[in-house]
Amino acid sequence: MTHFLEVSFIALMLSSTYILIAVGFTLFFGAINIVHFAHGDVAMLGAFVAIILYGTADALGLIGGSPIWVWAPLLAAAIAVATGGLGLLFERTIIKPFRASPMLITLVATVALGIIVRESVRLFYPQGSNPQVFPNLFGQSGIRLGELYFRTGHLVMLGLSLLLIIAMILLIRRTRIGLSIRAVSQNIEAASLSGINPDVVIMLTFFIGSILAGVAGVLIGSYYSMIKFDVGLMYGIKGFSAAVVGGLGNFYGAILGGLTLGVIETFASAYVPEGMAYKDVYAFLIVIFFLVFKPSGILAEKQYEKV
Amino acid sequence: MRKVGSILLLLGLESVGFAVFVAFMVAEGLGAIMAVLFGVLIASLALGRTKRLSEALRNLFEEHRKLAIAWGGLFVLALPFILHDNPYAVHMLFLAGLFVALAIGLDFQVGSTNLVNFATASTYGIGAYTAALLSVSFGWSFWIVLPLSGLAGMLFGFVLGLPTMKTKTYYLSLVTMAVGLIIYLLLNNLSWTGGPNGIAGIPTPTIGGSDFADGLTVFGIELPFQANFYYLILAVVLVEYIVARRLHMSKVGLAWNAIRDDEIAASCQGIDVTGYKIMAFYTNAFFDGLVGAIYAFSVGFISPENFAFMLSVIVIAMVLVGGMGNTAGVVVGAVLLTLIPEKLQVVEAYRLWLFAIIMLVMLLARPRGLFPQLVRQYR
Amino acid sequence: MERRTFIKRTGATLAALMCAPSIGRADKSVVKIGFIGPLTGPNAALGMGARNSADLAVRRANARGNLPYQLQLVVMDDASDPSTGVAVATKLCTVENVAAATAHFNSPVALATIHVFHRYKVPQVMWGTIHPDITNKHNFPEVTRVCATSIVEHAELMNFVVKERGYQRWSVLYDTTSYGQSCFEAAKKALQANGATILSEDGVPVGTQDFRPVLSRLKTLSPGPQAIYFGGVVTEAALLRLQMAEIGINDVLFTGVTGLDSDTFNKTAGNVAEGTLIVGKKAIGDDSEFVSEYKKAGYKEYYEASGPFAYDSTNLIIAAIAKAGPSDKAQLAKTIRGMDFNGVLGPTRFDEFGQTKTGGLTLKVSQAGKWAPWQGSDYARGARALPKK
Repeated sequence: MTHFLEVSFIALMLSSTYILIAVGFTLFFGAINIVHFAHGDVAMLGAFVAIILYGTADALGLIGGSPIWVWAPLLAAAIAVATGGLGLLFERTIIKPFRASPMLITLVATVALGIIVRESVRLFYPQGSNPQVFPNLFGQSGIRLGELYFRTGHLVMLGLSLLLIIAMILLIRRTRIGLSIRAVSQNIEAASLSGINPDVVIMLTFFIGSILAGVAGVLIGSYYSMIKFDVGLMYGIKGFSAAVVGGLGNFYGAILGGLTLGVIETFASAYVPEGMAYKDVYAFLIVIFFLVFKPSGILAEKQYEKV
Repeated sequence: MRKVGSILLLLGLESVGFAVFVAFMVAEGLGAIMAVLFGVLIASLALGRTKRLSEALRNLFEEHRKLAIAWGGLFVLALPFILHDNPYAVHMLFLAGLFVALAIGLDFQVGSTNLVNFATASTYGIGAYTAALLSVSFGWSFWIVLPLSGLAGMLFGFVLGLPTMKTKTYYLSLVTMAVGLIIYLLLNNLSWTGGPNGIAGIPTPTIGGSDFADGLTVFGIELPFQANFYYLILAVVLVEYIVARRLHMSKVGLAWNAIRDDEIAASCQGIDVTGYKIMAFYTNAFFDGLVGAIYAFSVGFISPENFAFMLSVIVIAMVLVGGMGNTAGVVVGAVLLTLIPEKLQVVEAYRLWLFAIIMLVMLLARPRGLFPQLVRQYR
Repeated sequence: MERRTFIKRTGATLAALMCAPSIGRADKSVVKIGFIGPLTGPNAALGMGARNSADLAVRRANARGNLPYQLQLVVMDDASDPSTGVAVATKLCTVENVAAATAHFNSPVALATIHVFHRYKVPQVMWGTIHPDITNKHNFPEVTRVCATSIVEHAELMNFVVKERGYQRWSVLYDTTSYGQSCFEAAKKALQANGATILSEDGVPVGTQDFRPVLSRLKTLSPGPQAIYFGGVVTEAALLRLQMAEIGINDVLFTGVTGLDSDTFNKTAGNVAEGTLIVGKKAIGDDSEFVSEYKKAGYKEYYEASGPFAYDSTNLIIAAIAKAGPSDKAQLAKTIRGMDFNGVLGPTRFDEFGQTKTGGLTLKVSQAGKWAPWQGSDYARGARALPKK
């Protein structure tokens, strides 16, 4: 039983990273119908930004000199703004020029962007080809429940990610901003006729999506105590798969897709003999299975093709 | 007199293009490479922006179509002779040929039916592994193995196309992506595919007593052995192109285009939408399989690394950078994206970074490709 | 001045200026040595370290100046891809006309390029690949290797850990690349040869970050493993070690071979790296000439596990060129094979397959954040104890 609970917690952590990245994919697709293959690398950048900003704050004496409830939110806000800004920069420079072009071009352009981002980190960050140690804020402290031991750091990150996802849901469903995002994703012309500036909404979507990716990056960094320049590609592919399996454009679908993928991968590794070598095979087989039987994703709305 | 003048102009222009190409092939040093790339970009921009220029060129080409093609064909055949003391360059030509074949197949599939295929590396890989396993385990000759590899690819392409019955567009592209990733993982993990160390010891093909591994002496000039494979892949590219043209001009091609333009209208016309979609997949996959077999026999060693996901993306990029729907454009795209990473070896660790930047700049400058498609001529 | 005279004079001056550079030079002919390694991709750190070390060797040889040649290192990236490897090997052998080359970290790439080097008869000294087939299968006279094969490494490791130290129950993990796979097979053989019990075998795709599902399962084993072996490289090894501690697998020995022999492992794993035992390359002190010269040269990247091997292989080539000259390739290959070379990693002599007989291996233990040779360590003296159930 403890083994099962332990594996479940691991699956939950992995799913959270996929969900945070999948939400971005689904938002971008909903807004402008594109697949952003460099989104996973934005998550990686988020982790690097966190390392850099933390190091700067430490050097400036902020970490030691002020209580955690002062510097932590400030640092978090700085990381969020920086990552969101980077994501927005990518959208303005690489994605916007291809808005009128077929979807494939944007896809290849973002693949190229992803390569540039990865290689830039590898070439220009000191010792970039090697894994970078991620600052450990909570040490070894944790909560013991019987035979299981949960690190404080992991719990905090998990809690924060959950809070963020809930905040996102509230934003989309309860606020004017969310309303305009939903309007633009449903029908961009009608939305602009209603007085919404679609370009601003798109920028907002990318800003928010990239912040979430940045949080995913910090989650990854703290959960594994390290970050490497090339982790973004696989997370991007898996995040994209999660979003598609859940239903592209559907927010809850991204959550469901992320959970599905995370659970399959983790449980296959833990329970299937020699499962770990094939964990990605199982995950992608499930993706194919879902797509063949639920062609537009698990939670997709009925597709009506207009003649 | 005017006719002779226009013929000379056409051949002259072509020859200039050929000279630039050969110069690019032997160029070293970042400056020279960037200069050539810049020139190509400028040329394509000029053609794109000024309608009169492109129309004038097109008319010139149409007027003396057969001659222009013959001159171009002669050049392509003569390349190994021009570069006969540079085996590396001939090897690069062969590699470019492989990718031209893959790209033409993909362009054909994507352009005709708008079905995105991220599994090119897998069909290519299945062809290669079939060839390797059959020749290493059973000792079968290349000429028997070649069509079998094509068939293996075709079979796999058929399976790949089955989800098209229900899934569409992005969802289908994700299915092909997932399949591509699964095939790579299986090739790497299964023991009978040789695992990560792949399969070694594939012999070179022999034809009538002479071995492909030996150099060729034609007209008194000694050609490096890589030329043998170059001519082989040229033959395949030619066959592929002819088949593609034939299909395009036939009922099948019309059906494909109808499906691309409006699927519901097409099915209302009585077109078997799913059947034609699957056909697009397996036709493309057949040629990918052939190319895979040729690759396996040329290098003598294959491993899963050759067939990773990124290769599928690169082939898609070749089609897009060159110009989807325009075979000439696709050929240019494939050749460029094969040669550029090799030419960039001069910058060592910055190679991949610079390559991605160049690709991005090309796409930003020419979003529809260097030589975009001309509309179908219903002549 | 009259126009013609002006032109004549300017022309003459220009011509003289153009000739000037060649007057000063001692007219040394250039001899090219090739380097191939993964400069992009997941093994980039290792490739760059090796490249810098090879570069250092060439620079120092040129500085010493006692050769009648100017040596030039021609660097190529194989991106860990066999197809690229074949292309660049062809280039080195034909267009660049290198006298010899030192190449590769990834075995699949080497397995493809040995045929190219054999065809053009260019000698090739491997600095990083471990698959036995590279030397043993065809025994091409051009191929030599300065690093030990996986078989030798693991025999030495398991002899020590199982026989001498008594760790009987093992869990084996490895990454599914060629390197990890070779390590796994060699480790398994060595473990079985020493009569150890293997409780579990798990291959993980390279790039895996989360080993916790497997570790969680290992916790349920009863009796549990006394030692965990990992066949792979630094990043995954560090992650595994960290997660072992986090998930509560304590008092279990962590072992590996030269793939872990880099300071990056200690840096990334931090405190929990303490007590990790490996078979690594010969210990190179921080005060050694190689390390100080490498630092002085100011390379951005660390020399990693591969650097010393590349340094030795390049110097070996240079020494062979000094003996036999660069033009006769067959003679050069024979000379390389017959070399009795002393380098950073100790003596190097090749057996009948071109495989180094000596290989420069040392048992090492991670002590206070650094790899210390077993001999003379606190652990050997008994001042610290290896984890043991």
